Amino acid sequence: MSRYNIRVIVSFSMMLFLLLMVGFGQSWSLCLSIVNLCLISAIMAMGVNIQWGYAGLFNVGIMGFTALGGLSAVLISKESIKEAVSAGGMKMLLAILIFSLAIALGLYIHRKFKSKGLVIVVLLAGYFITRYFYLDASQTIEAINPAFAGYLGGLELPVLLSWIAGGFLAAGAAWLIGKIALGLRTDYLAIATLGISEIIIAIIKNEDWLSRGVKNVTGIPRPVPYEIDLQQADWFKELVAKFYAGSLDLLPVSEQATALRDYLSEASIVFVKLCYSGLFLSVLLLIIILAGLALNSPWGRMVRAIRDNEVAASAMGKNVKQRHLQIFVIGSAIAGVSGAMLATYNGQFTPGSYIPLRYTFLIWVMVIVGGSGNNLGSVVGGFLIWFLWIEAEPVGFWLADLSTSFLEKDNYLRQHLLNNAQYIRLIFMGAVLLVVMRFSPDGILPETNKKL
Amino acid sequence: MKKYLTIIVSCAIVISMASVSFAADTIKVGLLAGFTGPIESLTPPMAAAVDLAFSEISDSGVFLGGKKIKAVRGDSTCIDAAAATAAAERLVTVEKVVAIIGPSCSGTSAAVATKVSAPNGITTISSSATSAALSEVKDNGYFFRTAPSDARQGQILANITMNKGIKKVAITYTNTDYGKGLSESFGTEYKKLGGKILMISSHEDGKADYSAEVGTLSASGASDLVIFGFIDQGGKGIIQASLDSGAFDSFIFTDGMIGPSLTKHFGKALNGSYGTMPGGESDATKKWKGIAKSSGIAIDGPFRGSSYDTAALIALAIQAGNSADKASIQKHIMGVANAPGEKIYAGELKKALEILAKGGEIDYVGAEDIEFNEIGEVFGAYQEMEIIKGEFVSVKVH
Repeated sequence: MSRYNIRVIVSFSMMLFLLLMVGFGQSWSLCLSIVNLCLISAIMAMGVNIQWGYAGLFNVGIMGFTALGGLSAVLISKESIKEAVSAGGMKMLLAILIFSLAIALGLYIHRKFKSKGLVIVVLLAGYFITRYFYLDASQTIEAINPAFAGYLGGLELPVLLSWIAGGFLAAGAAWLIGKIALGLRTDYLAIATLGISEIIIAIIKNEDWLSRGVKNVTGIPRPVPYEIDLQQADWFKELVAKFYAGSLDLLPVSEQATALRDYLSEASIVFVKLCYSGLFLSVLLLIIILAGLALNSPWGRMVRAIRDNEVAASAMGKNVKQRHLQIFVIGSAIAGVSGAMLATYNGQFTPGSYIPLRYTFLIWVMVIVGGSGNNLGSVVGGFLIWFLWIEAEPVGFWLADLSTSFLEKDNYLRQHLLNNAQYIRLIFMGAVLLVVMRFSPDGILPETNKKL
Repeated sequence: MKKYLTIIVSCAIVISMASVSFAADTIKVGLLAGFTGPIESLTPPMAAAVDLAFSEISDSGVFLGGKKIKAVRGDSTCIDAAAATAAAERLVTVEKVVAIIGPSCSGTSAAVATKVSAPNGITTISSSATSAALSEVKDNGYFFRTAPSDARQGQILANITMNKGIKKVAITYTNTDYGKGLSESFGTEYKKLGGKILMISSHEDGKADYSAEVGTLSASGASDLVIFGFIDQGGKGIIQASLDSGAFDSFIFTDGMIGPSLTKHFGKALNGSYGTMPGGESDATKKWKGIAKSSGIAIDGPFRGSSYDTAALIALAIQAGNSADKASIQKHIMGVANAPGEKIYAGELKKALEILAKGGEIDYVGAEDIEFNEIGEVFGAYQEMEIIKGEFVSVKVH
């Protein structure tokens, strides 16, 4: 076995070991909720890895694409607000149609007549007509029961469809952005994508008719059963009673009902989480397989050749611009899918919570720590970083407690450290990044086929 | 590989030992608050208020016949629903808390209520989540809040404004669910009363300069500016820019803007400005101020009183059911919070515990006049605060 293979096996089994430790030492429901977010994070990290690791595109706008995924979860799955649709739906549709028409007409004139003046006139006219209908429509929609609705609602389709739709929505946005910004070189592209992702968030925050803006959408339907329903389902009750029959019999009769109730709630939570894990895992595996095939195909070699030497690849007749656009769209689509999965899992879409630290830079840390250019590396990075993100808190508390245990109980330093233990999460992230970069500069699992 | 193994094993040991254990006669309650993130400056005094209530209960010696109660902290991050639910799960399944105080923010509250509280049957009481949309969350009856919904505060403020004879205003709100919700409820009520809103515009927090926003607002021709914002954030910047340019000198606030740090900074320039903040009968507030001051909790910010109340309610519900069982807590919360019974103010928890131990009934008033409606939300009494001679003064209770 090669050194690399050992590394893969060791890092994955260590991750598994850590998660099992949480399961046995803390609780299975906590363990599974960490695992589920690890799976989603791994998919997000794969999206970044495809852009950065395969093609060297420095995209720091991941946040925007995950938010678009979350938006699609709302638009696909929420119940439609009948009143709003009948009051303002047609007007809004008209506004969107006019807008697209104006753009199409502008493009046509630009291609056919090459007249800049005429294009500007058409676009301006389109803007004002759109605005006329749009303002009316959005005000009508937003005025309907603003505290609980005030938007059009969704299409009432199964939420799983939104994972695909989220991918397409993000891909569409990426195509548009790529057309504008991909001509830029690395650091300029980074600044452009950072700005564009903030624009996407600003739009989502302010267009209330679309998804209630900062007022948040909660109660996104689930693809799996609700815990409360399970706790009342007879088949589930019987299953749990049978499973725990041994330990229930040991208890006195008076305590059995309470114990069964607790087992039931725990079992229902674990069951629901396992359903999610299954769904997330199958998406992750699908993406790993597809991404692996792509990376090892002639297309993958071409993309890496472009990454390593753009000029040489271009001289060989490779279409650099086109490949960059492809990669940008594919990576962003994966970020969109993971964003839709996250909104589904959280059951809510809260635009105010999209901040770059959490949705862009944390994902970048996952890719860098895991090993850029290696898909399995991104998976390990996603798992490890999210695991630490959650477990840093109890560990921080324990460290603060242990290191000051020789002090008086109400000693100022001890109190201060215990009360601020939560901050160790951020210190931890920096420390992990530094340690990995120092001892394994290419990440935990470095890129394997660097040499062409 | 040996090196890796050592690292991993030590990690694992740390994690498995990281749950600090307390003596068996200590009952644990989760305190899930935004210790890191956007409201990190608000949370330490809220947590201190919770600890204050619990130490009062523990020291009384009559709680469940001499048991202690203690808060175990978890970080809700305020914005990251996934991290907040994981923290809540840790509190419930690892620390075995019997109830949760928090989460602090509305977005994380919705996630925790549906994903942790309802399935586990854990009573969860937020002392600071004010979004109106939370009233509709599917919580199976386990989510309560001691901070009143924004919808009501907006209505009350609109009425006060109208009664003062102000018929035209401009509104600026922080672009969060807090500001947006308030501006909508205020706007609807104000228009219904015959008022005119000349301009509504949002502002983003954390900017260095707000003169552009103020310029637009003053162009509307209004002379009174309603600010739904935060005292340490954009709200202060808006006032600064307004005073600098002379665009507005009369402001209307809500709880997020009321506090001595505002009057300390601007002094008498704000005389005549007014606003609302949650707070009950003056008796209740007076008593709360007394005990808060003696234990070093600054009462100049929002949600401290409601945090104290939340902690007290959970302990009293345990005492009322004479059991720290999670189902029993949920059953008794309404009973101890609402009439009938003897009125209990902040600092009188020992008396309440004694009454409950004898099987009597109490009506917890606390620091902020707690009274739950049928879905577990407070009606909310509001104080009208006016700046007189450069200081906030409570004028009236609504």
